[in-house]
Parts: sequence; structure tokens; C-alpha cells
Amino acid sequence: MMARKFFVAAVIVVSLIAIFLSGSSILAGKQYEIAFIVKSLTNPFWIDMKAGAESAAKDLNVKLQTMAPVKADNVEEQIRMIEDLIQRKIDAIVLAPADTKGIIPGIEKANQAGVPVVIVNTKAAGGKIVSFVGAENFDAATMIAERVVEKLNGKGKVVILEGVPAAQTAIDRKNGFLSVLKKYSGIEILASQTANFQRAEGMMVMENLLQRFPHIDAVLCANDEMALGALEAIDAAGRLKEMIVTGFDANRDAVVAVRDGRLFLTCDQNSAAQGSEGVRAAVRYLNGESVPARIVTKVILVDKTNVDSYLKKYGIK
Amino acid sequence: MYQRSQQIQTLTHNEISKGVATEVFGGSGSRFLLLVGLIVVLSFIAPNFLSLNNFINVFRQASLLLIMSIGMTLVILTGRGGIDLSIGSVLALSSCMAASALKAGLPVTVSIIIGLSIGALCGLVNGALVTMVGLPAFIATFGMMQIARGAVLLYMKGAIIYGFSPAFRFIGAGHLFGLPMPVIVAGVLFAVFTFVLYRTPFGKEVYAIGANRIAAELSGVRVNRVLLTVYTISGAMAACAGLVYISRLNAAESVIGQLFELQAIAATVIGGTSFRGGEGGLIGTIAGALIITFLNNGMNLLGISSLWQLFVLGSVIVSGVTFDMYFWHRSR
Amino acid sequence: MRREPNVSRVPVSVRRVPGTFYILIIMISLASITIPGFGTVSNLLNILLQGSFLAIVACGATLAIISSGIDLSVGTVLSLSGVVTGLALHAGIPIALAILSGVLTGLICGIITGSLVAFVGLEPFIATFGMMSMAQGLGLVLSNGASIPGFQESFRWFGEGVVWKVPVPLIIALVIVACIWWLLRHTRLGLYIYAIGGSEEVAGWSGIEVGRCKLALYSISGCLAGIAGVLLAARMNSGHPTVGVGWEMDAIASVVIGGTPLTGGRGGVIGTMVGVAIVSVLRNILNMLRLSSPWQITLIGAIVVIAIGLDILLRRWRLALEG
Repeated sequence: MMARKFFVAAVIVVSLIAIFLSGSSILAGKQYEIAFIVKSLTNPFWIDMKAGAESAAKDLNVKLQTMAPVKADNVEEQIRMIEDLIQRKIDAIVLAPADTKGIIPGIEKANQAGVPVVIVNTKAAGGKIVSFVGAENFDAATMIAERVVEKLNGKGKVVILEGVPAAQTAIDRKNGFLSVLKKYSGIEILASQTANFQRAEGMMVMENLLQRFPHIDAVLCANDEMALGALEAIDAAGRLKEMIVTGFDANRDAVVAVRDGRLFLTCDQNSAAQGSEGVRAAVRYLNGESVPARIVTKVILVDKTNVDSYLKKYGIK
Repeated sequence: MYQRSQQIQTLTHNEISKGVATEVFGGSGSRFLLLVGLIVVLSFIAPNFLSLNNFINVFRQASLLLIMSIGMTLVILTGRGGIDLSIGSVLALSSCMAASALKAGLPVTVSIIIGLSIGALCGLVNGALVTMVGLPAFIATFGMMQIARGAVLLYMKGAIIYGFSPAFRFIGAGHLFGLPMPVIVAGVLFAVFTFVLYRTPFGKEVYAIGANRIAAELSGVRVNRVLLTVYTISGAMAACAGLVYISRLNAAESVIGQLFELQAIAATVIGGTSFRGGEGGLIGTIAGALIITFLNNGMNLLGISSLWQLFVLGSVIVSGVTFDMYFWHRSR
Repeated sequence: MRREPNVSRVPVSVRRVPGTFYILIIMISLASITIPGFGTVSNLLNILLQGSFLAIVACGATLAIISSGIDLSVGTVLSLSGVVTGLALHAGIPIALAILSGVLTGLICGIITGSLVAFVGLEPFIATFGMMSMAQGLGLVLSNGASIPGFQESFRWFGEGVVWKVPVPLIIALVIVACIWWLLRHTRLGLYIYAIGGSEEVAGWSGIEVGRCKLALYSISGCLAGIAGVLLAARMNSGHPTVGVGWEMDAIASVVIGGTPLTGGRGGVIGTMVGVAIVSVLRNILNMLRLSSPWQITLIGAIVVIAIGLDILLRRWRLALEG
């Protein structure tokens, strides 16, 4: 019995020490410690934002750690992270809320503990924050929809591919599309279906919709991944000429698809700038400087006319 | 070898012949009725449902699920909590590794072999944890699910590998004799494993272990070896599905395959294979996989709002299987 | 004449504390030495608060698993009842009734799965898998795919309030755990649940009404998920239709880490609490170390396998030593 306990102890000690060593480098130095909580780390959009935040942190010489919920877009996990970070006495939190309203209790907890919070990318509907950095998904979605309506001359049959049901990004982008499309009587929305922000599902849903509708003029997708999946399905059905497809996020593959004339346009919210501006705002606040309550990052629609600069950015020739 | 299989045959002859007979004429027979019922209903209410193109479309979509469900069926047949939760993550890991091998310029065949062996290896580790360490399958494969997913996320760092050579794309997007390749791959694998399961000593051993593990052991079945093989097959099937998948998608990313394990389990169980082990089989599984795929296809064609889709899926599965239970119970 | 159930003593597992308990102790002591801010009273309360919701859900999962069943629907039922409570509160219904409506939602879901398992004879996996999709779908439809935010302070007390510094959800969780412990150890129903898990046929032969027991236990599980959903809505100040995604896996993992095998018939709720504690402490540690999500995913898997694997190997080793 004794030997057993000792053996258990030994093995667990060794494995845990290994874990702690990987994290305990945080202990050294008297830098600001800032945590950057995003919605997920499995999508190029967030990876870019993380990279932007990290380069700003390097410039400013602060310790930055990027975290994301284990289950993507889960606001409850984000709240738990905030609670745990407060216990750890973090200096500031930069946060992309997975739910505009659901995140409020988390921000309030940080307020009580005196930890400043900077919000990026998605608004929070309550709590005291230092600043909101970013471009609203809703506004960017309206820009895309306007361009599509313009291209269709105000008349056509449209399909929308939505993101994960109940995720804030998905809601905002869908509502942005709808707010414009509903204004034009010539626009008919054939279907609005979810493909969960994923390429494979985008392809599957599009395959089914292509069976259903003999003619489609435009497919508006709430992110690039679904758009690229839909393009594969449309291409396989040989109907690429018939319709235009739009993406969202301007990731690498989408930029290539724009260059090749397969994707009509995508939209660059400049996620890297959102990340770096968020970290800069937090540091300025910690240094006692004044920070504007709203820092706007630009939204750029990427189409054939300006795709070259993006090709250069990604190093594609 | 001959003697051993002879023994098993005498020991479990009744159970197995009963099992196969029930499967074909009883249990899964009525599952096929359920499938036919679903198709009839959909052809009346869903526009453009009843066309050759749409059926080929559905079969293509179902083939991935079927490939994964082959391994899952074998695992669940072995009973005693046999389950493989890791297939979605293993699918992602093995296909991303194969994709990066392709990108590194390795030949298609080598890359495919790399992918398949990573899948098989993950399955082998599952099997070893179950047989040698004695972990419950749920825990062993839950661990593998997490570890493989974490590994692929760390390896890919959120990037996406895009654009494969035409030779590799043929597996997922090509056609042979007018049929899409995924359907052919799934069909061949299904035929092979149906033969293995119903006509070889190994298949009989799987049923014997599921029906009564102790009796199987006493009659000379090398239980651990069979279990190792079964979990390895499951991992390899996941990898195989993953290769077809990325080839069809023309891209590999770390988040693919999430919740596939639940879909494969659902296809298997809806197809009549029981968690008690030793009951059911691959013939039912094909019905299960088609039922799920036809449902999804029908909902897309009907334009059912994405908010309602989950509800419809759940209620059709429950009411369908409930109806089936009554149908079956009465006819017995 | 109906035969009286002839079950006097059920072979309940002798090991009151699962081997993984020692792992919990070691984890906590190591973390409090190496991580600043871990070993404080406020962090302890923080972990206990975070763990109480999982504890409530895992109690229901324990019942299902002891009967050698499974309940996959707890996560989405939890979300659904949070949404229902939120809608009720927004409709101006008094708090007590709104809470009741949330709990009843869970109970009704439980009764439906319970009847499907008990009387229709569906596999628990299928019945609860179906309920998982249905509850998720219903939650999305009712909430129109968005969270339902903003409740009055008196409702939020159930998720946020403290009594003598102890968070309210923790108190409720402790009461529920005590009730379930009592149910399993000191009531006929508890005995029967073990008996059904040991062998359903034998339980049936000895006169136990297997169907009614199953109905009862799945109803309890649904009801507990409903309670957890209401409390979580109060804590988050919003009912969110996908908040419970994946909780069923956490709950089942906690039960199994706590020493209740999926084949049923053994184990208990004390072990499950050890499992819940391990999961919650592990999450807290990983967050405090600020590891990114891929590392968290990997380590959760690795530590679960290592912990249970070691426990099993060492038990086997000890048996071999003792001959």
C-alpha cells in the first residue's frame, strides 16, 4: 500500500513538474503580465490576431500569453479563465468576448478585482472597459452585402452560409448581411443555412443546396473557410460561372481564390492590427496614459483590384 | 489454427448463426425498412430529392461516415464498453500528417501510407491501453481523442494546407465507371470487412468475444490479440476516411473531424449494433449511415432553418428507432 | 401475486475512496508550492464555485452509469433549461416560478429519455443521444440562436451570492451531492440501481421493477441538469443556448475518474466528486499557467489516461504481490 502511494506520487510529481516548468518561466522578471483571451486558436483569423498581439508585446517588453477556450466560442470557459487569471493577479486582460452579453459577469469580476480589461473584435454589452478595439462584424458584413447587391444590379437569388449557431460572430455577420439584403425587393434569399464556420461543412451544405436550386446568383459566406468549401462544391458541379461567392476574413487561401477569380471578394478586418492595438491600449493604460474609449481598425474589402498587396503580404507570387 | 477455429465454431455456432440471421431478416432488415420509409417521405416532401444526381451526392457524402463506422462497428461488437471516441481526432492527425508529407514533395503512395500508418498506430495504442493496461475503452480512447487533437493543433498551428496534386485529388474527387471515388473506396472496404466479419474465423472471434468474453477466452480465442487488431482497424479506417476527406476538400486543417465519433457511433447503433456486444453487424451499419446522411440532405433540400435542424435530427432518430423497436417486437 | 424484491445486500464496492484521490492531493500540494496565488482561500473558493455546476451534473451521470447506462443529454439539457428560465424571467414571471420552469424543463427531458430507455427499450446511448440533439435544437429555436441576457439581482444571487463567504451554488451542490449519496446508500432505489447495473436480468428475476427504476434515475439526472442550468444562467447573467456543449463528456470523465466503471454496478458519488475535483483543479492550474488551448487539450487527455492507467496498474501489481 505504502509502495503504491510512493510510486503514484513519484510519477505524478515528475509529470507535473514538467508541466510547471513549461509555465513557470512567467515567474521571472518584473514586467507587465497581460493575458490575451480570444475565441479560438484553430482559425487563421485568430492566429493572425495572436501574432499581431505578440509582436506588439515584444515591442513593449511585456509578458503576453494568448489563451482560448478548449471548446471554441465558449463564453462560460472564458469567464472561468478570467476568474483564474484574477487569482493569479494578472496586470491586464485583453479579451475578444465569445458572447456580447454573456461575457458581462466576467468583466464585472475583473472590475471588482481592479484588473483593467481591453475588448477587441467583438463588443461587450456591459462592465467597465478601458477601450474597445476593432471593427464591428456587423458593419463589415453590410459592406460586403452592399457590394454584392451592386454587382447583381439589385436583382438576384442569394444563399447565405451562416457560422456556428448562437456564436456572436455568426449572429453579427448574418444580421449584417440580412440588414442590407432585406432592403432590396429584387433580392430573393433562397436559403440561409449553417456550415459551422468549417470548410468541409461548407462543401457539404453547398452540394445539397446546388441540388435544390437550379439557379443561384450569389453565395454570401460568414467566413472564408465555408466559402472555400462552397467553391469546391460549386466547381465540382461546374456552376462556377453562374454565381459569385464572397468570403470573410481574407485568409491566405481566400486571397489566392480571389486572385484566381474564383472568389468574388473577401473582407480584411485586419485582425493582426486588432491584436496589437489591443495590447498597446492595455499597456498605455497601465502606464497611466489616457486611452480613447474606441479605437477603430479599418475594414478593407479585398477583390481583384487590390488583391496584389495581400498576395505580397502572404508571400505568394 | 484449424482446431481453434473449429472449437469456436462449435461453441458459438448457435449464437453467430442466430446473430447473422437476426441481422439480415430481423433487426437491420427493419432498419432498412426505416431507411426506405425515410426516402419515400422525403421524395414526396423535398424538392429535387428524387434524382440520380442527388442520390449519387448522398452516397458520396455517406461514404466517409460509412468508412469510419466500419471500424466503430467492429469495436462496439466486442462489447464490455468497447467504444472508440478518438476517430475524429485521429482522422485529423493522420490526414494532416499525410497532407504535409504531400506538401514536402513525397510521392502520393508514400504519403498515403504515412497517413494510414499514423492512424493504425493511434489505434494500436488505444488497443494496447485497453488490453495491456486494462483501461476502460472509454477512457483510453477519450485520452487519445484529446492527445491526437492537441497534437494536430500544435503541429499545424492553425494553418491550412491547401491544393493537392491531381493524382491525390483523384481519391476524393475523381470518378471511376461513372461513380465517385469515395463511394468506390467505401464500397470496397465495406465488402472486404463484411466478408471478414461474417465469413472468417477472425469475424467469428469478434462476435464470440462480444457475446461472452470469458467463454471465448476459455475456448482458445486470443482475446487481447483480437482486441488489438480491432482497435488498430478502427484507427486505420479513421485515417482512410481522413485521406478521402482532405482529397475531396482539397485542403487539410486541424479542426476537421470534430464530433465525427458521435456520428459514427450513431450510425452504428441506429444500424442495430448493440453496446452489449456480439449483436448486430456491418449490414445494419450501412443502413444507419444512410439514414443519417439522407436526413441531413433532406433538411438542406427542405430549407429547414439551421436552428431547427438539430431538433429534427434528434427527434427523427428517436422516433424512427422507437417505431422500429415496436415493429420488430411485434413481428417476433 | 407480485414477488417482493429479494435484495438484502448489494455488493457495493469496498473502496470508498478511489485511487485517483491521492493524485488529487499531490496535484494540489504541488500546485500550491509552485504557482503563486494557487494556494489561497479565495482561489480555493474559486475552484469550488467553478466545480459546483459540474458536480451537480456529474451526480446524475453517476446514477446513469452505475445502472450501466449513460446520459449524453445533460450538457444540452442544461443549456435548454437556462434558456427557458431566461425566457420566463424576461416574460415577467416571478423568480420562484421561473426557476421552477427551468428545473421542470430538465425533469421533463429526463422523463422522456427515461421512458424511452425503460419502456420502449431503446439503448440509453440512442435515447440520450436523441435527447441531446433535441434539447440543443429546442434551445436554439427558443432563444432564436442568441443569448438571453440581463436578470434581476435577486435571481443572480443563486449564481453569484455568498452565505458566510461560501458561494450559493457550492451550497446547493453540496446538498445535492449529500442527497444523491443518501439515495445510493440508504434507499431501496439506490440498491436497485446497483443491482440493475450488476445484472439487469438478475435484478428483474429478483422482483425489481427495472423499468420504473430506470425512469426514476434518468428523471433525476435530467432534473439535476435543469438545476445546474438555472444556476449557471444566474452566474452568467444570461441563458445561452450552447453553453453546455461538451459538459456530458466532462461529467462522464469525472464519473469514470472517480472509479465508477462504465459497465456499472459499482462506484458511487464520493468517487465522482474526486473526479470533479481533479477536472476542476486541472483546468484551474492550466489557466493559471496560462497555457494555450492546444496544450490544455493535450494535457487533459494525457493526465486522465496516466492517472487511471497508473491506478489500475498499481492495483494489479498489489494484487500480484499479495498473491
